[in-house]
Amino acid sequence: MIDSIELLIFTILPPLLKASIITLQASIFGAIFGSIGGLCFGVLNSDRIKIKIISVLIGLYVIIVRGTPMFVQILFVYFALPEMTHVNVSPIMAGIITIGLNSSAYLSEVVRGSINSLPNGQWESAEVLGYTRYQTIRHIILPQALKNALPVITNEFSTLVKESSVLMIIGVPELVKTSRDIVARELRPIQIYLVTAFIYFVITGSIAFFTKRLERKI
Amino acid sequence: MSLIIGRNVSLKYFNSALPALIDVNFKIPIGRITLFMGKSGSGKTSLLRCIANLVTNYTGDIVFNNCSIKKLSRSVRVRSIGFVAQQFNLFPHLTVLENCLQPQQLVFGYSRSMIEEKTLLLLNSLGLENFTDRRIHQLSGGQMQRVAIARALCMDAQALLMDEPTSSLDPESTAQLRDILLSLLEKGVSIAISSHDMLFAKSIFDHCYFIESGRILEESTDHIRRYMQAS
Repeated sequence: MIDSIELLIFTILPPLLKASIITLQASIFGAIFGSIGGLCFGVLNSDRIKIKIISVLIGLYVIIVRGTPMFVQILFVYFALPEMTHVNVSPIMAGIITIGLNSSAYLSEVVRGSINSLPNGQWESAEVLGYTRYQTIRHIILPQALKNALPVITNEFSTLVKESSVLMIIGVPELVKTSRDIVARELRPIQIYLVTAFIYFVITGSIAFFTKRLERKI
Repeated sequence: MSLIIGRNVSLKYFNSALPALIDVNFKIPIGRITLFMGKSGSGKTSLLRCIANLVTNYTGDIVFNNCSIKKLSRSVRVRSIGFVAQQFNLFPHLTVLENCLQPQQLVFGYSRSMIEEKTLLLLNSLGLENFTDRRIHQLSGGQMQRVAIARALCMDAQALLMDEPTSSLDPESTAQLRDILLSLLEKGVSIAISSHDMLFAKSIFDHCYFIESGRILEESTDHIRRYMQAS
């Protein structure tokens, strides 16, 4: 028992906590990248704004990203993209780019759907009152659309944290890769994977807790 | 003297086989209440939407103070015509006060301190002094309508267009609305209303058009009164 506690405190927890910071970094930066992309693409692809050619390109991007596994996407970004562009990226950067691209495709659909679901009257009111198109989107449409989409968006962030585990395939020392390395060294899969699962649970639980509070506040 | 004049206004929606408006001629005189009456689908709302410049693909011309509405700049148009839609279309993420302040701040570039007092006075005059910090979903239908009127008047609109203003009001709110509209007339606001509410119409209008199937059938007060009595 004492052995197990010592193992947990001195051998398992420190590297896993360090790895969880990397998981969080990749998820947070990926989510920021994805949110900006998703917001822009969602607005540009919404019914009242869309320009056909841009809409087709965004649609194509969304279909490709949603139709392929993140596993393949990360391999493409890390191994194929540098060959095509002659720009090398670090594993963590490749991970952030992949998470961002993936999340922006999903979020763009969420934002687009949420904008389209708002009544036409909101656009017309803003038009009658003399708002410019930018003012209408910035001050009338997005505050309502994002509020309506908040549960889905935050759910997407929780998913991102969990999906960031695919970064292990390109050697990013995030939670799953680190736990697997510790298992290989310590041969205690039950304890180590339970702790790993618990850390994921704490992170996603915290996201759920704060988003519930945010939803109530809004 | 007429503030808004429509000449041969015709409109056909792209997804409809029948035209919504056919050669409609009308005048909205200064300081009077003009009523557009007719059954549902007769073209009343389409006409008001053309006047509010929400629909622009009509033929013919609608002029405001001798200038085509389509050619008015955004800020002039806002100061010329206010529109209160049937569903009010208030902004639900803002409070009552913010619904009235935000358009002035964004469109005219006023600071909040410049307009807050004037706006509060206007809200008070419409009996909304106790609701300024409330969100829209916390209001009754009658209160929402008064906020929509206040929002249009905050922009100093000379003409107020109201689409089916009594459709979601109880008799008490309808009576309040009538008093508000009469007080607006005293302030020089010209009002145009589309409605099929006979009782309300009878109590308020002084210039009336009867529309059917997109055409103006009559511009006769007597005719409308007879029509009302017959109904």
